[in-house]
Amino acid sequence: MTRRGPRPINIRLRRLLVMLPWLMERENVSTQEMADHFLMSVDDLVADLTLASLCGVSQDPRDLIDLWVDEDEVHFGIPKYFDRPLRLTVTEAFSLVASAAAAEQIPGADVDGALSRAITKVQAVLAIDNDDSFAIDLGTPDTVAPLVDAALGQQIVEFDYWSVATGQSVRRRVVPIEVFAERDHWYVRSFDTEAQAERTFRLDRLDDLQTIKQSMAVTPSARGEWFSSLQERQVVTLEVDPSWLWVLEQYSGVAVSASSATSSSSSHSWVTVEVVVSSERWLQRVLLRFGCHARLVTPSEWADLAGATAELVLTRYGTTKGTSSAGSSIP
Amino acid sequence: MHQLERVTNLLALLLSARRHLTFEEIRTQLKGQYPENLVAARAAFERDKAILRDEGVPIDSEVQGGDKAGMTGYLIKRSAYELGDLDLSTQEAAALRVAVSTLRMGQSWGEEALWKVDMEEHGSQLVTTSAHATLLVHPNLPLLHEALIKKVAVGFTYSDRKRVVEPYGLLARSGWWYLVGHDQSVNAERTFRVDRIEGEVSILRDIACTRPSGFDIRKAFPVDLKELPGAIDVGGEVAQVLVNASDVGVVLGQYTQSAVVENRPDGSVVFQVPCSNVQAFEQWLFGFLDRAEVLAPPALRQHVIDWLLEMTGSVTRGER
Repeated sequence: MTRRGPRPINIRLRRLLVMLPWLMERENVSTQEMADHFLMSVDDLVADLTLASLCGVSQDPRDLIDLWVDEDEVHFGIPKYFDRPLRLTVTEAFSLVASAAAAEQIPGADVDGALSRAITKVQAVLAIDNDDSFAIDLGTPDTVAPLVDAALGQQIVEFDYWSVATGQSVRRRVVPIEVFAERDHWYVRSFDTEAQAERTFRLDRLDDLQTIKQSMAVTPSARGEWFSSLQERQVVTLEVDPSWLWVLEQYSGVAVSASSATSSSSSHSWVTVEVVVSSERWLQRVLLRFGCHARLVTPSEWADLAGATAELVLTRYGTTKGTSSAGSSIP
Repeated sequence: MHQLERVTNLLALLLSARRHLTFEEIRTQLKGQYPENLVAARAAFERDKAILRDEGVPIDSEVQGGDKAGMTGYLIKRSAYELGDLDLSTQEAAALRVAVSTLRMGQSWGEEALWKVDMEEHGSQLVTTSAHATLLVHPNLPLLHEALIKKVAVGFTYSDRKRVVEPYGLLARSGWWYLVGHDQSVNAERTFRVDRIEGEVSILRDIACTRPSGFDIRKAFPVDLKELPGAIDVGGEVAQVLVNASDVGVVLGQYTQSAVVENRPDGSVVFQVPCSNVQAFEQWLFGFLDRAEVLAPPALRQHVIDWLLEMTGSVTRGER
């Protein structure tokens, strides 16, 4: 069992100030329901409510907050101080505006304009101008809408999927489970009817999407970490020029799990990072993107991979190690 | 006495007060809750106020006159404290729950906001959606957003330089948050990636910000990062790239048929691709390994070759 320290006072106060008006609206509610709603344990809830019942402008019982916990029920009496929740904090206001801006770009999130109306009311209370100074651009591709529909109806879809490893497209038949955007790309997590397993596909690599008039019940697993289903998962250690760490930022699911200073031939310290890679081809692209700003440390069998990959691409330019660059073939 | 109890009592007292109360009046009213020692009591009171203010409680302070001349009085105006009634319909509240469930920010701010704006709801506020987006937020974003709303400047350090920026807009694109604004230190419009701001942002309430009329954050920042101005001059802003037949479909998906310069008999295609930002261009190009080749401009082609030669050890950076 994990031991935990005392809960921070600011968190407890924040909860209390929203719990009291919520309780006032209901008057009686079970401790379990209330704890579930406010994402806390029953023990913590009872502790905070018991403390609140001792609060007021004086210790005269008539001045105390009128609530009590009896068995598994919370009871609220006469409202005295906290009839309404505290105004939205800066972070809460931001989260609502951002959520609405993102959801407006996701098919099915704004049914009959209800979200637009809701956010207009929120903006009015917060005195926010509805202008063009704030935006979330998810770059939602056209394929999201039919895939979301298929996920809702558990319908089978087919598409050509281009494999970055082989450069070839293969027809896939899947039942979409969820469609999601992460970093710069959209993905669909699906049940692949041929592989009889869950697979995740990048939407900009699929083509000729067709919905089949056939449904199939699938029980999705809990969404795991990226690469968790890969049997050939491999951890690679790189030494990286810290000013080039941004190269790794574009990869969803890449865990930079260790970082320590190390010396190098360059004038400043490089950092050591561990990267979970999905395939050798994937690592080749990462190494090309780093160029001479990273060195592969382990595993040793890939020690020459960066140089070999660079030579492979150089042949495309009619150039090899030790030769000068060839002339271009401009059409 | 637990500090939470004392802070709650202080909040209840200042909300119930009909006039500003001095520290001595508060101490008298909250009998025995602050230490006997005046210095310790004052310090405890300041800590309590700081907790309330950090939670967004608007404590109004005012220097008193008359027999309390020079003393500061404190009051919380109920109208400033309480969230106004949003009057959300059932459908509107549900839509907000879906929206908050749709955007995963790595923070619980959205759920905490729902607790306040949707007091009718029982059970969990979050719902399962078939589509969602993950867009991690930086702790500085809410303050930048507030400055944007209030139309005031912000101060922060970026690339080792202190900046005073009048915010024009905030944009999330390609998984990152960007602030666009007028950087007073260089007297020009600049774009900043929010996660690269060093340290905390401060709101400069005394410096008003005037946004250019018609400003649209979506248009102030290129969709394709390869169009961003870069530090390397390759003699052109558009590259011609020969892409193998196997990869043509992907590039067409990104740039459409309008980017096609030439269809070759073997199925390969020459595309026009932005290359103003050479770093961003190379990151894109190397995704194809040896299945794509830069044809023009010549300086860009040479830049790519030199990059690769350097990796093989044939050329050192000094020779490039």
